[in-house]
Amino acid sequence: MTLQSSDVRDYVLLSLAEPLADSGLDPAAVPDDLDLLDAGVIDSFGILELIAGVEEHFGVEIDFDELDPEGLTVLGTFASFVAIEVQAARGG
Amino acid sequence: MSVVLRELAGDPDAARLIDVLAPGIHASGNPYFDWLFGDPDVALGVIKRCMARDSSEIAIRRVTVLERDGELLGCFIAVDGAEMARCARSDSVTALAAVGRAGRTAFLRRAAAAASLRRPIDADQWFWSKMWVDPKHRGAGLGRLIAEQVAADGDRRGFPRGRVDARPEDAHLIALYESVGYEQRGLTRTSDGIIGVIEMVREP
Repeated sequence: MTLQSSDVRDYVLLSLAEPLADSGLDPAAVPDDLDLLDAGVIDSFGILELIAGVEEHFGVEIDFDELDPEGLTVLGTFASFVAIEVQAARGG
Repeated sequence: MSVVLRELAGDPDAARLIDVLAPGIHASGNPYFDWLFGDPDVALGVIKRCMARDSSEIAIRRVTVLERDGELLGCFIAVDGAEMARCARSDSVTALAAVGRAGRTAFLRRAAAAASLRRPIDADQWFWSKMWVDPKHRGAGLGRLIAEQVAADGDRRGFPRGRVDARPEDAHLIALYESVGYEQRGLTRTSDGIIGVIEMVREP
């Protein structure tokens, strides 16, 4: 089954449910251009957790060097990149 | 011949100095680097990879070197606080890739312990770090030369605040920072208590 960026987005929002709530953000209404770092949803350690989390959840190692650092913590950019990389790793 | 301070941002061949300067950057950040990465060789490898990336906090292009008659005497890094969020993103990617899958769990555990160690650098701060002077040239006032240069650079660039972090055991560095106007703002430690940092701020 093809992995969609919306699948990655759903996983990220679920894993960040608590800090999103602490920041007063409704996961159902979070825009794709939300920068999780700038919005205070995650800190620098949260970036590490985010990367490690998606790699473990989707079972692939992803080369994030290919992604501009500015996009790393933008929800939609991150989700699209991960979906493409996971699909590529799965041979699809 | 007098000491010259040279910003590597203007050197198109700065990357050739990564291997030369990385041990000094490593030494200036220890014991934190070795604690965080769990092994000196791994730490040095991460530092070199970060220095090669323009978006890193310790990118070679951010380094200023001290030279005299072509001899390297020391170095330091100064960063616009507004760039620190981008640096954090970049260095997180580099660090995770460098420690590899085998070292990831232990690294994440130590990174979690370090999460509250350094208060974030604010966008209006001129952040100074990684000061290193070759042991052969210590005691000759080079640290003071760097400190005065960094303070002047921050003022010239219009930053309302300067920031440097010090280890509580480095009394001589704390005294140096205070001598050019930095004030202690508080001590934080890793959750295991092993590494401590004193936030110091200069408001000209």
